[in-house]
Amino acid sequence: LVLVFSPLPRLRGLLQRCWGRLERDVLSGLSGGQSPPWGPALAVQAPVFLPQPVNDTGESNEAPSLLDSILWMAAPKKRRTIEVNRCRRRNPQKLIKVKTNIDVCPECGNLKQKHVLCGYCYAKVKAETRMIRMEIRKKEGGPFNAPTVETVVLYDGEKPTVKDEGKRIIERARKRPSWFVQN
Amino acid sequence: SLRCVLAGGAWVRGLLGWVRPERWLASSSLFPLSCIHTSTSLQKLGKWEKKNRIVYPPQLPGEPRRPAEIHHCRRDIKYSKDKMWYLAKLIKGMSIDQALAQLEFNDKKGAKVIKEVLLEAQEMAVRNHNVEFKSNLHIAESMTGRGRYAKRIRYHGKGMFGIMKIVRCHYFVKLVEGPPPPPEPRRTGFDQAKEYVQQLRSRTLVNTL
Repeated sequence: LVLVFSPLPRLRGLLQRCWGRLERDVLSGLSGGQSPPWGPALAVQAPVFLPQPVNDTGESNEAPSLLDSILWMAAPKKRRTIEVNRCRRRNPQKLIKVKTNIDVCPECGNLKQKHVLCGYCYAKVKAETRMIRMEIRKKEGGPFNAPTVETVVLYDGEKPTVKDEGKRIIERARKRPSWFVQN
Repeated sequence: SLRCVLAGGAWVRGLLGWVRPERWLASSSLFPLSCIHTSTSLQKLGKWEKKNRIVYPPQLPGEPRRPAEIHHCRRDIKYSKDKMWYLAKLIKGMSIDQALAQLEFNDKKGAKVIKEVLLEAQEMAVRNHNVEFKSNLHIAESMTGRGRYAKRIRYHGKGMFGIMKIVRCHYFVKLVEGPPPPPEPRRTGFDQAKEYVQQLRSRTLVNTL
C-alpha cells in the first residue's frame, strides 16, 4: 500500500473515508478466502513531495568548485615589511647600470653610443633625403612612374658630368651639404 | 615658444596658468575670475624653491671659497616616485655632463624630464648664481617625492570596478660648483674586522678602580 500525502486536507479526508469503505468491502468480500494479492494504490493527481536526496555521494565525484579550491591557493602569510621591500627594490641587480659606451660624434659634437649612428647627423640626413624625395615626387608626378635608369642629385651650380650620361637628374636648390660627397 | 623652453618650469606654469583650470581653481576658489592673473607670486613656494633665496654674509679674506649651490625642482611630474627614484639614484654624485650623457641614452620616461630639469638648473646657475663654467657642476643631491595623487574609477568586466590612483611625483636636484667628490672606498671585510677589534679593545670595566 502506498500512502500519498495530499496537500488538500478536505480531499485527504474524502480519500480516507473512501479508502476505509473500500477496505471494509474488500475484507468482507474475501473474509473466507485468502488476503487480496493485489494492493490497491491510490492514484492522486497531486504534487508528490519526495524527500531531498543526499548529495554527498554526488559531490565527491564532481571536481571541487572554485570556492573549495581557494583554500589551496597560495597567499602571503605575513605583510612584507618596508625593510624587506627596500632590500628587494634597491639591490644592485635592480639599479640602473652606468653606460660606458657613450662617445662624442666627431662630426657634430653631440653624444652618441658607440654602436649606434649619431642621432643629430641621422636627423640631418633624413631631412635632406625627404627634400630630395619631394623633388622626385614632383618630377614623376604619380605612382609607378619610376624610370629604369639611375638618379643623380645635383645642387646649385653643378653640371652633369660625362659619367652622368643617361641618368635621371634631380635638382636641389641649395648648396651641396658637406657630408654629401659628389662622385 | 623659445622663451617658455628657457625659463623655469614655475614661470611657465604662471604664464600658462589658464590652460590648467584645476590648478587655478584650487589656488583661488573664492574668486574664480581673479584666476586670470595667476602667477608664481600667488602660488605657495615650496621649501626647496626657498633654499635658493638664502644669502650668506660676505666671506672673510682668509676663508676658503664657498662653492655655489643651486636648488631646482619640478613638481607634479606624471610618473611614479619609485620608478623616478632609480634615475635619481643613477645620477647622484655624478658631474653634470656625465649625468646628462647617461640620461640621454636611458629609455625611461623620467629620464627626459630629469634631463630638462638639469639643463634648466645649469642655465639658472650660469645666469643667476655666479657660476663661471657650466661644466664645473656636480649633483650633490637628487631626490624624488610623492606628488598629489588623484583617484579614478577603473572599469572591469561584469560591472565590477576598481579605484586607481593617478600617480605623480616631484623631482629635486641640488647642483654644487666644483668637480664631483671622489667615491668612498667600499667597506671591505678587513675594515669591518679592524673596527670590531677596535671596539673590543676600547671596552672598559664599569664601577671598578
